Amino acid sequence: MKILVVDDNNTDRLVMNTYLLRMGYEVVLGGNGLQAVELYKENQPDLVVMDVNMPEMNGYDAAQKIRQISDEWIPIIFLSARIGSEDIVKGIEAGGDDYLVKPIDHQVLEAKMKAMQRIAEMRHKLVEMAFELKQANAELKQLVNIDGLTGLFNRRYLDDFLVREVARSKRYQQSLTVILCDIDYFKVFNDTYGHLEGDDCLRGVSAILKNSCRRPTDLVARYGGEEFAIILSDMDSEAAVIMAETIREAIEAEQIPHKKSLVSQVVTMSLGVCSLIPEHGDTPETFLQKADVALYQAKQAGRNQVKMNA
Amino acid sequence: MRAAMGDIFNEILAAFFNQSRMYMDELKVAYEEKNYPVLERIFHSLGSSSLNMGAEQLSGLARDLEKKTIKDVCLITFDDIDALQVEYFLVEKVLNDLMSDEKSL
Repeated sequence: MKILVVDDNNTDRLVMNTYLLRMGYEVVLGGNGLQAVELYKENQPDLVVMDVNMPEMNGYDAAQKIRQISDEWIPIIFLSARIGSEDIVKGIEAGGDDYLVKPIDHQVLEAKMKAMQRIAEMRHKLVEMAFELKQANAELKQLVNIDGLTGLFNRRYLDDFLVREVARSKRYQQSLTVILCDIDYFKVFNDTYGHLEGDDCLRGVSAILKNSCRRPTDLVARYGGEEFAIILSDMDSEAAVIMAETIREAIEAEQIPHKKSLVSQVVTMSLGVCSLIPEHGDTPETFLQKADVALYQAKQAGRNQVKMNA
Repeated sequence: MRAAMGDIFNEILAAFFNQSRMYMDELKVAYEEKNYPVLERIFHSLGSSSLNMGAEQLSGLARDLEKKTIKDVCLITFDDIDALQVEYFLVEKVLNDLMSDEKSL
């Protein structure tokens, strides 16, 4: 345990230093309140033992500064020859945790150090546990929003995201694009190659979609089964169609065999695009329905193509 | 404390003497210059460090003078300072004698 000892009195400081070193602690020494704050920043001690009455800056002010700059709680013990109820109140209000009466009795000092070390260790454990819990919660939160097979966002997240994006696009009167994509004859693919190959196909297609939508604001989600949804904020219809066509070509270029497909020998994709600046009555459903109509048109027109419904 | 400190006690004693002698030099100057904050600090510090050496009378005297010196008010006389200095040098002599006796044993 590293202890910062701050006392303007050389003799008292030396006595305290000797006691603490003999107890096996690492000691950092300072001579006034200003030094206490600086040494605290430099050394990040586990405990501070500090005189109250010091030049430059007294112990109370130094404790307050340390509490202000420190994210973590560490015990602060004040040293004083006078300890009345008023001193104790003042010390606690300044951020202190305990008092030691001067001259220091080494047995009392040893006992208090042990007690403070125990509290500090418990505090460390609590901080670690809180951190782990926070991480676990973050992972859980992400898992709730992620599709387990493809690693893309799931429908639940997509729905929430779309609500926010429609509202935002309405507010700023920006164009918003929703693309619905469907792997052509995927049922046939599964029947031909089996479900494990089908899962691989979904993962491969997902990776291509993800790579195609690289802006931080773009969102790719698994919409359900072999259907995917892409949300592109601040993108007009012309750019959206180009983007959809690029995706379609990339899927085809991947050359995933699909010998029983009626449109190609490889896996292909049909895409329906809806791109518009939302107005008063437009909702997330407006976008999804329009994109779905466009997707239907793409399928009706022979699949492996992009259709637009503005 | 002698027992608890072991070999380092001599070092602590030397630090106490050095610091206290410095205070003795500063005392009268601070009093003449009416530098009460310095006086208060010397009394406070001496009151604390002398207790480490078991010099309770010196500590008590320093504490009394500290109480009489608050910011711009000082209720002590030159005689009070003399008395404190006499007491300190007495303590210094006793501690030195004790250390000499210990060495000769």
